[in-house]
Amino acid sequence: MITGNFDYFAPSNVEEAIKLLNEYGDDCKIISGGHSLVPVLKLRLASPAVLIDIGRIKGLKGISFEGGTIVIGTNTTHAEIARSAELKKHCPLLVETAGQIGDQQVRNRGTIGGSLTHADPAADWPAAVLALDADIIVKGKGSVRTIKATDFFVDIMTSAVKSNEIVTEIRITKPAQPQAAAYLKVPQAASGFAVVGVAAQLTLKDGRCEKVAIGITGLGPKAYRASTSENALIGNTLDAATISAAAEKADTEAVDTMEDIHASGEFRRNLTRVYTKRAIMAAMSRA
Amino acid sequence: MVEVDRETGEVKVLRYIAVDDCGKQINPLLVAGQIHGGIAQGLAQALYEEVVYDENGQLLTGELMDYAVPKAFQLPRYECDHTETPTDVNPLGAKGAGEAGTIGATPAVANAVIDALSPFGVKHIDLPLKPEKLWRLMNSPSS
Repeated sequence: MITGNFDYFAPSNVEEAIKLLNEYGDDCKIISGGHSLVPVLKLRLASPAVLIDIGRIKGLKGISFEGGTIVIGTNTTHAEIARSAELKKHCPLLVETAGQIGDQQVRNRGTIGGSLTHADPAADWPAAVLALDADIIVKGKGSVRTIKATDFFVDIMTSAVKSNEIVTEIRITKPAQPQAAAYLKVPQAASGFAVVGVAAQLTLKDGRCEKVAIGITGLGPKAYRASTSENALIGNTLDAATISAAAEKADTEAVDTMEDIHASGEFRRNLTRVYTKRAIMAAMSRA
Repeated sequence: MVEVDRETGEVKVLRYIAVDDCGKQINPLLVAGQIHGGIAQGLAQALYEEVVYDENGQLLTGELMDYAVPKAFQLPRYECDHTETPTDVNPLGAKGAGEAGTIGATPAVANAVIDALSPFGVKHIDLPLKPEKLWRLMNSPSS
């Protein structure tokens, strides 16, 4: 349970960090809160020669607002998001998700950018950023690009961020009806990771569902949008029968499923359908 | 008293009442601590803790990321009370309290869950009572 040897750099700005990334290539890893990477290092699942600590870079941490857009710095901890009064008002889905990650110690250290880039198939954030249609901003050598949440998760532990790029911020358009949202999860009894987690953000108009986005984590090797369920809801009055019928299709997009000692693929599919129904109902009741 | 989620097999302990008798209590706070800790251990054995090996004999629950030791938020509030029947085999009249909570908790919780599933014809379930196992019992063709 002791990590391999590595060199440690703590650059003071993003450009310097990107320079180091280009210099060391695949031999290096970025560390911020360390709550995903350190366990991996200790289990020797990875032994990078170089760690680049972006935790000391100023300007990558914090929650701000640019007009109708919420901007969250990559180094913002889960705890900062969980206790943000501004987010509770403008985007409570983020607050509800952050509050259910791991335990208090994990939330105090772990960061949103780190969790997203790690792309653990049982992490909580992927469901929320998908349901909020977030943009993830990534910087490389002389380049800045925007990755849509729907394109961000590629496979198990694999995001669309290249090895010489750094996630700098997460940008989210303020939801039209912020309160009409819910993140519900089934925590794995030992680790607290999501066996299945469902995030839903709704917009209702005259009793009908004008817009809905459902993000699902835990079921497949990567988090996904439950588009089939969404399409069965849009334009309809959300009565119990409509919601149930739509939620029955929530596992359609997951071709492969995760399977371990805590839950089979079949059971995960059931949890996905049940919790999708409950998340939509909870979001509706809060609208 | 427990509730089993019909759709997911998740168990919620609604009330847990423990009435113990350790004879004359010298330090009631210490007795309560022993009972509380013991219930946590016994309840977790019924609902969470499990040692799993794969077909090659490799331990799959070798760390706390996979072996579910109970956390405070997974436990109910305990309602504790006691009777006092002093023993006459020592001058203090005191009896052991160290394992009282543990011994009672496992069968109490397990039997409550089995009782909750009695409409499905369930009479026995091997521990631990994990959600998937209960979900399968509630959805098996014989139930």
